[in-house]
Amino acid sequence: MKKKVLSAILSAAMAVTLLAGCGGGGSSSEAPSSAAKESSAASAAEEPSAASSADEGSAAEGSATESSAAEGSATEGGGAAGGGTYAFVSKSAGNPFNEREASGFEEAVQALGGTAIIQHPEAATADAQITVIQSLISQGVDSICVAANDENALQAALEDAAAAGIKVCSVDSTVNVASRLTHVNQAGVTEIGQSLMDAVYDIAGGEGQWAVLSATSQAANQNAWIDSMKEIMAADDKYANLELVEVAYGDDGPRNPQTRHRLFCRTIRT
Amino acid sequence: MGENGAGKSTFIKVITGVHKAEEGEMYLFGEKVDFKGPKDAQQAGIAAVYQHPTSYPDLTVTENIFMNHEIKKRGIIQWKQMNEEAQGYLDELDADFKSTAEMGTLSVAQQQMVEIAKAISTHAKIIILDEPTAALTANESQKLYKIVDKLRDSGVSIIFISHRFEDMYRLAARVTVFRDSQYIGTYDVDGITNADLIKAMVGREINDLFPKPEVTPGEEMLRIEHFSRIGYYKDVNLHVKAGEIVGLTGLVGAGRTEVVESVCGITKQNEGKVFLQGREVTINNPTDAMKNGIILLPEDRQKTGLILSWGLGRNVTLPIVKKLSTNGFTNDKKERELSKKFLEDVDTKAVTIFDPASSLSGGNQQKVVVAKALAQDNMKVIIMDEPTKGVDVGAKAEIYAIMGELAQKGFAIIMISSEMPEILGMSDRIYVMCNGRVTGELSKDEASQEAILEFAMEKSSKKQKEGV
Amino acid sequence: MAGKSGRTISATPEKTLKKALLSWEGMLFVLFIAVNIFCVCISPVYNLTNVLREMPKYLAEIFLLFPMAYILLMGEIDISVGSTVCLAATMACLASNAGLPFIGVILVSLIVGTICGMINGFLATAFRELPTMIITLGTQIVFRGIAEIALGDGGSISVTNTAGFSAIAKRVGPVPYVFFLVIICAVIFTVIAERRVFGRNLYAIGSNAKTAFYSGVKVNRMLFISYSVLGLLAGVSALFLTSATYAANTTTGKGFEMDAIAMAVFGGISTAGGKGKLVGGIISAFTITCLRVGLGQINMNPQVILIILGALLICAVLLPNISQSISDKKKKASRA
Repeated sequence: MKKKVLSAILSAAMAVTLLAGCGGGGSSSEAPSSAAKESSAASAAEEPSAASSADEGSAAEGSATESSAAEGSATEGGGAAGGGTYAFVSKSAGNPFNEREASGFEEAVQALGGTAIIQHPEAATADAQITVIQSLISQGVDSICVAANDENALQAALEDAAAAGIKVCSVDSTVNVASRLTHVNQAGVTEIGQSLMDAVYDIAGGEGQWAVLSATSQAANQNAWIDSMKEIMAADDKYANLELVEVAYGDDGPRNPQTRHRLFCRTIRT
Repeated sequence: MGENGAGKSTFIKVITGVHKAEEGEMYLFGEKVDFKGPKDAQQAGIAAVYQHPTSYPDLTVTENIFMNHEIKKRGIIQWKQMNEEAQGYLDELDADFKSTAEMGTLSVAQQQMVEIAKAISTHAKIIILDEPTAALTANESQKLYKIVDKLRDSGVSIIFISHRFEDMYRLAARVTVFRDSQYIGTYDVDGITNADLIKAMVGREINDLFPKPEVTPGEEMLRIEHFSRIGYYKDVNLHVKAGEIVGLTGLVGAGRTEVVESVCGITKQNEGKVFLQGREVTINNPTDAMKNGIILLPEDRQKTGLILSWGLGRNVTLPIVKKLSTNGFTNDKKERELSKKFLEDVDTKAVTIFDPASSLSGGNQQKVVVAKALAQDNMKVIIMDEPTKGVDVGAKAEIYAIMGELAQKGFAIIMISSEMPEILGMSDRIYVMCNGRVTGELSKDEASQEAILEFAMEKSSKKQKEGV
Repeated sequence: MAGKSGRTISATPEKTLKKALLSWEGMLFVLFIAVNIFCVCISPVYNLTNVLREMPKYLAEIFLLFPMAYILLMGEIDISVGSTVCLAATMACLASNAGLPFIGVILVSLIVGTICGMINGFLATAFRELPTMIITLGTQIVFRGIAEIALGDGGSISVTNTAGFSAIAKRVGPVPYVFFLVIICAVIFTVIAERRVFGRNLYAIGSNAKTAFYSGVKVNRMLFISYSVLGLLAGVSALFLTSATYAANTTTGKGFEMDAIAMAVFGGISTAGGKGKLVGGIISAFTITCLRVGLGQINMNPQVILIILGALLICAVLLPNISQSISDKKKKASRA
């Protein structure tokens, strides 16, 4: 009987090998749970108040610049020559914007004759990204391109990577200067800030209260856009009748943004 | 009748269809039957009331009685009708509670009544009662006898399993004896004597059931004064001398266990002092009690006396692991030797000291508890709470012998018991409690069943008005 | 006082190598070897250096396994320790940014962790009727809530002066400091559990707390100590965690309690109490860690890795039950 148990365990271990095959590239094929939506949409326009949110991929300009951004980082990473392995680390699984970036990345790398590794960390945290980066260092990839969940927290891990001869760049959400060779932005921060303020202005009809529901609190890109929006609002009189009530973070979880959105609507309407 | 492990319960389970017989035949009302499961037996008119009621404490009496055979009209349960019928059964049994009461709030005796009502409600022709008197006081047992009489008079056949001779003499027409999984024989109660019966049950002769040697009491070992704990007992005074066996008795719920648990540090009294050999001592937890030489053999040996999943050896050494340790590291060798010695001293029926405590019969388990107490060799006062509850005749005698020897050695013994023969046979002095107070103190010569019962129920109506 | 029948009881223990190998811990060890062989086969870069490089994050969690095992052995549980780690890490970062010398930062983390543990311990012993699952569910929320308030709007704090933290993240050759500390803790906790009075009493409480109490075991004291030590080690864990990220945020430590419990249960420690050995927990911790590292190196999707680990855990709980019922049936058959 004990022999049965032993062989059961060994066969279970062997069965894992089979799964190894389908696990493979870890790319967009799975993403099982509901999408870790970054934010929810704005509320109805009848009320003078409105809740606006920093939505990552809604703007049309997003898609056009993604593939160029991805391409840019690929060429940055490995040089135009064929061969070589290039890794892309997203913020987390189920992030639609990152996924489009990743597929663009993959196309570009493969077109240049290299192998692409796409990794989605198990949670939208710096912690999870560090685990992935460490694993990539072990695998000896040629370059790592990361959309960071935290500007500073990845520094130690990325410095390790650089020390191991791996070229590091960030995309979408930057890491601090010491951690990377270069950063690729999908669109200018001020431009994004401006178009978001324009959207707020239009939806609110020129006046009223509004709030920002962002993703994770440490993500550099969204925080940069929020700062830009604040600057634009302060600089231009046109926005004098708009009042930014609150900036909140949904932490990139599917439930959190929706609950916060509902809480917003309730408080703003009172 | 038969000792623990003789095979009585298993036999009953074959009759009620829980187990399948491998050989032999069963005839019910003259016809051969072959039960495939308990439901078959129930439908055939056989019902069993077991020792540990398997009832649902959060449901009412009615729900328990009618479990699995509720009264339904077109699929809807008829509560009113069920409640009334249940109440009818309860009235027949002279119950002092309503059918709408929750099972969990009832005492063991009352729960047992509900189980009997359940058996009646299935219109059983044969009712089997498995050790019903084990958990009952003398008073409650009398009530049970009346119920059994009534059932018998109404045409129901009763199989009554018990250790106790008085049950048999009082109720039975015939007695069947099992020993060591063998059927020994069936005898007419009229023709048999105690000695014959014991011989059949135990296989050997036991001459003196209560071998209490004469011991001159020495110095006063333990005295408690004005012991009170709100809601449990009030103004309890008692003392015990070296070499004495003091019996503490009363009805279930009188507060006896509560008093000794406070003396032994498990609960804390609100008022009162404890004196050990004349000196006042403070006891705040079990360790204090044990350090002072006061050892308790608890009432519920399975829940509070033993760790059933552990081996016998480790059970015995549990309180003294630290004492036997070297520099804080457990000393397995010392523990094995010590536990072996004490387990052998009390004649435990086991193969190795690693046998799990759960594998032992009730009497043997009690011996392990005794060994555990003896192993703490600084004791002065031993308090035994219902030491022979659920223990068969053979082991009982051995435990009494051990008690006698301990008394001879100069220990002071307090024995809590609800069994009249035991109290009368073993005690040098008897305290009787009722509703949390000591209502009477009797010497061995003064003691009698009637005197004790009078104190146990003394002024009970007055007590209800006074409260505790 | 000799027994009347003169019957003797055997006191010689039987210990065979075969028995040791076939025990749950023995099989776990075999599994550990199997997992490592498996990882070497699937990942070309699976070697000692890389494994040690990728271990620190998991090692920080393994600290929690030891006192959690004690609490589980007593039949209780603590699901707040992840929040304790978060709070301790937050306070450590704040202390560091406030200019405290690193030794002060270490003390802050340890003290904060221990206080959280003592709060749990106090509540658990003062309210014995309340299930510890509920108590620590409450403190889980409270501790993380306090951390979130301390973290402020941004929800994260970065350490500006990383000197102290990077010092403890250093290695001796390829072996990180934290690895040594984990091994030391493992040895200490195992020895206490197996060979000391404290450990014997732990198992007693888990098997039957009432009997243990009646027999003089100081149940409340042991509970309080165990919860406090879990808090202390949460402080240790927080320090090593921060040394990898130089930051603390609202998600720090999330899920650590579940990982610790999973490692313990997979190692044979029953949540009902009284069963299992610390050695099993340790072997299973390293087995799970190696498996995660190996699967990560072939870039398996992290969600899939979690599914595999979950399935292993279910097997770990089911197998003993299945084998128990098979052996029970055998016993019944042989008796008839």
